[in-house]
Amino acid sequence: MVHEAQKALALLKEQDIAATLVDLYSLPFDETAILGLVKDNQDQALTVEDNYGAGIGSAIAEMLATHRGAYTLTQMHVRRIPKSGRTPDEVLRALQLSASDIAQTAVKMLDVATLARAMRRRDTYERARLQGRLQWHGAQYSA
Amino acid sequence: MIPGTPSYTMHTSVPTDTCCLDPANGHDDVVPHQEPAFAHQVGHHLCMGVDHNVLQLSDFALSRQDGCADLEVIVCYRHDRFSSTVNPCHDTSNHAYSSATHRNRSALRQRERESIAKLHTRQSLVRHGEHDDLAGIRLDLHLVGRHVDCDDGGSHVGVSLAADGPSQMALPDVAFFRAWTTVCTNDGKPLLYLLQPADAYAAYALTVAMAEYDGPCYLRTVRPDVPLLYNDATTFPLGGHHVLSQRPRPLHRGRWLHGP
Repeated sequence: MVHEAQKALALLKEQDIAATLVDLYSLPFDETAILGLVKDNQDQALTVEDNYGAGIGSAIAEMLATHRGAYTLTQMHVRRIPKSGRTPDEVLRALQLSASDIAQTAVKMLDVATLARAMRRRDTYERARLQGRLQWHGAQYSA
Repeated sequence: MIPGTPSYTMHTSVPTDTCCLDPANGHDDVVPHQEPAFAHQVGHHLCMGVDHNVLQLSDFALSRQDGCADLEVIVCYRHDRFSSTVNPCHDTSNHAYSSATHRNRSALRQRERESIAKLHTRQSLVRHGEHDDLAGIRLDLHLVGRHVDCDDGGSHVGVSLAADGPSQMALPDVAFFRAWTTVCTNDGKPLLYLLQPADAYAAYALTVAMAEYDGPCYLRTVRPDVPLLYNDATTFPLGGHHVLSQRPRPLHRGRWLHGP
């Protein structure tokens, strides 16, 4: 799935979206390093596996849940019993694990995160305005 | 960080005079091969130089003689305890590997060859359950073995198996083996390492690491040809990971630091 994720990364790059791609080839893994990588990416992680759940995605989820923070994890794995296909790509498409699906999921996560951040900023602004703490910062806020 | 984690360097280099094994001819014929033709692709059915041999090696180590390999299990134990038992089924592949592919290599390669040969030996040992002093692991592996015997089919895991259908894709294996990775032995090491190589270099390095590591491991390989991601200088420590591309990290709000 690393190769599929690499294709997804290329698709995301077309939309000017940068992401970190990690080949997590081992379980157990270095929790500190992976947590650091998640923190570097706006506390968001997307795991992609070509097996049923309770695998690497769940290992990451457990790790994130152990540490304090508001992390978002989306797991992509096989969610229904697959059928045989002529090519691996065909099967991956049917299981919604193809590169375009990965890219779409990532964009969706990003949209949610952007919306959440905008709402947080708006809340902060509203609270400050209601409490009369709003300050005039100069011309950059005009227009 | 996992204490006592060994790290291994893969010492292979892609030589100019690469030769390959022809599976159709019982792995005896040395076929001259132009190196760059398949340099970006690896696989276990095609003939493609040292990378192919590497993967084929792992393939041999993993696949079962009876063709029943839904779950592929390799458990590594110290060789000297079991040196008396060698499964003759594996002799052919060992011989082919040592004679055809690495005839002119250095003594360094000899060590790796020996560890792979050990791996073959050990795998057969585990399959036949001939060791009595590791009762707990053996019990679990017997459970796995029974599962393997029930599902006959392809020798590789994951949905990328494609044509053979779901009965032959080992799909719950990661969850299954992850249970053991959450447990520690008395000396603080994980009970089991679950390894998923992403290309031939990784497969080779992890197979060697697995052979050298004193404890159980489970290596999970896929069937189709995949592009190479790494090179022969990449190290694959057990319990590690590789960052393949790094997002530019923000210095602070509104300012971006470009590059890793």
